This record gives sequence, C-alpha cells and structure tokens, in this order.
Amino acid sequence: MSARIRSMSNDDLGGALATIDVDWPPSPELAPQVMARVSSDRPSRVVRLPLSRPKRILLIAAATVLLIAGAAVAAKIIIDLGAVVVEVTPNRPGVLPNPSIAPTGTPITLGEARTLLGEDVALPARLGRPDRVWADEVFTDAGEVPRVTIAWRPRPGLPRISDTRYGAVLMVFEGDANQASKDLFQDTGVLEVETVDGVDYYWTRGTHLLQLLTGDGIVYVRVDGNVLLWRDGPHTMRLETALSKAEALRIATSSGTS
Amino acid sequence: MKRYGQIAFRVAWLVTRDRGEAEDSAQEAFVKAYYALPRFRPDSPFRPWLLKIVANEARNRARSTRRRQGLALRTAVVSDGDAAPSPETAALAREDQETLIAALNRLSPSDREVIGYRFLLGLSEAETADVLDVRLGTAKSRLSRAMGRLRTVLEAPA
Repeated sequence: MSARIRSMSNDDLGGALATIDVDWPPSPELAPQVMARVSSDRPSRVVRLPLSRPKRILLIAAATVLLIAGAAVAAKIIIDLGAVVVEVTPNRPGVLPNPSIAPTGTPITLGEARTLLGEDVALPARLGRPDRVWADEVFTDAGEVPRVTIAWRPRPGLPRISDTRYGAVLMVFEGDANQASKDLFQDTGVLEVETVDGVDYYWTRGTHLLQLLTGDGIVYVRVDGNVLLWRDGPHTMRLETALSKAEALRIATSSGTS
Repeated sequence: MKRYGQIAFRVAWLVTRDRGEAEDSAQEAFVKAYYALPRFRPDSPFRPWLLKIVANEARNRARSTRRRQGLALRTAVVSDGDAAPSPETAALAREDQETLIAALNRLSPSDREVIGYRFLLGLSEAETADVLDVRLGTAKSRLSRAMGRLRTVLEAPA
C-alpha cells in the first residue's frame, strides 16, 4: 500500500474511493422490458375506457355513491382515460405537498402549441386568447410525446385558482400512454360524469394528488382546484378552474379557435 | 427510467455482482415501483425510495441463488489513446486505485455494499441509509465500521 493511502484519514479515504474510475458493466436498456411487463399486467388492475358507455356510467355512479357515502371500499376505483387515470382511494395520505399548479415545461407560443398538437386540436374558445403556453416532452411506453399546458389569468367571471396565479389551466395530453394519475380521496372528493353531445366529461372536486410524468421524472402536486377531464380525439384534456361544473362544461364545450 | 436506469442497475450489480441477476433485479424493481407508486410518500425523495426497492430485490435474488463468488470490482482500463483523465481521477494514482479496488473485493458483501453506495455510487448518507433500509445513525456506524475493516485489509499483506 502506498504511503499516501496509509496516511489518509477516513474522510480522505472516502474521497479517494469516490474518485475511483470503476469499470462498471454496461447498463442494459430496461425501459422496453419494464413497459412490456407493466402493459401486460395492466388490464387486471385498471378499468379502461373501451367499456360500453352504460357500464362506464355505472362505474362512475358507483364511485360517486361511495364518495358521497364515505363508504369503505377495499380496493381502489380506477377510471382510465388513457393519458390520465383517476383513482378513488379509500385512504388519504398523512402528508400532502403544498398546493400548486403542475410543472409546465418550456414557454412556447400558441402557434407552436398547435404545431406540436396538430392544427385540429380543439381549444376552448370561451376563454379567449391564453396568457401563457408551455410544452414539455414526456417519455412514455409509447415513446416521447409532447404535453402542452395553457393558462389564462384571473379576470371577472374567471376567479383565481387557490394558490396559483391563474384562473384556468388547460393541460393537453397526447396519446393513450399513461402520463398522469389523479388520486381522489374518498372522504373529501367528488367524481361525476356528464355527457354532452356524446362526449363524456369527468368532473372532480376536492383536494387531490396529481402524479405527473414530466421530462424530469415523476412529480407530485396537490391540486385544490376543480378539474374537468375529457377526451378529444387523440388528446386527453384536463381543465382546472375554481368554477362550478356547469361553467367548466360551458368552457369545455366551447371548443374552437382561440 | 432513463434517469434512474443506470444507477438502479449499478446498485443491483453491487449486491449481486452478476450482470444478468442485476438486470433482472433492476427490471423487477421498476415494475414493483410502478405498482407501489400510490404508496409512495409525495414529500419524500424519489431516488432513494426506488433504489431501496432495487437493493431489496437484488438481495433477495442473491440469497435465492446462493451466489458467493461474483464478478470482482475492477478499475476502468485507460489506454494510451484515451482522453486525459479528469483532475479528480488523476488525483489518485492508478496503482492506488487498484489497491483500493482489490481491498474492496476482499471485504464482506455488506461492507462492500455500504462503501459502494456511499462512495462508488456517490449516494448521500441519507440515501445510503434509505437504500440499506436502516436509520441514518445505523448507516453511519455501518459505514464507519466498514471503512475500518477496509483500512485493516489495506494494511494487511495481500
């Protein structure tokens, strides 16, 4: 052993170990196998949208009844809209993060958002031109997909969402690969479904936990706002506001060119 | 997964010292972590939570295969044509690096594990404790004892 190592303190020895250039075996590509496993296991756990509409409505109705009644359920109730999954969980975690809007990515223009999502993406015309637009790239089991977040500042008729700077935040998810999960708690949450012109709109109210896949990994956000979810072609739309269900529905169904 | 795949594999490899077992351990751990996400405490850091699942899976596999002799740790080979080493690497002579690696290979698996997490993988003391599934104080004392035994091995004739 060299005199240099012998004379080292434990801290210095630790520092020396940290500088060793270890010949690690090459790291394998884990994602394809893991995604294949998760995808093949998933149907046993999740109720997916391709259920007939009556069954879906029944499921939501059951979830709503359980939420209202505060009844104990042994298992979670899971509604899978593709990119976004809503879970009604019997137990609320002891600690929740502070309320905030979810991480949004890089600022872009509305035109760039339309290029990312496709020109035919239907944004709510009732809100007018947005104040901020961001995009994030998310790695899913279907590959990299864009996610666009659009925000409108508060104004008369569009109250501020608690603890945020905005009156409405619309997240547009692309594709069917799961990118977000909403944990709605049985003791405080509300989950309802409304069908307008053949489109099902899922309304949630009450504090919930949003688990969101971002370009930097999974983040956990506490959401206190009211949220409306719906599918529009290849996109899953998530509109967060402080408005009532009726107002949120009016915005969602006003899709057109902003 | 892109972000944590490499360190997950290396944690598993430190435990199993077998590439196939490490790959299977890391893969299984990611699947388990996916299903355990609803139980993850959102105020906790994600990396040590994931790596603890990886290390547990790797330990279970190492136990079940009763693998005693795995691949030894080695220093990376630097040929004359390679780029100059970083200042940090250059700070420790190659001979000293090889001496340290040889000493690590003579330690018990649990000593090698705690030193490996802390110094070879650069986990913080808190992360090391999480991955070992012990309290911070326990992790510190385990590390201190392992360093003492490393010093003993270094001073003993090879």
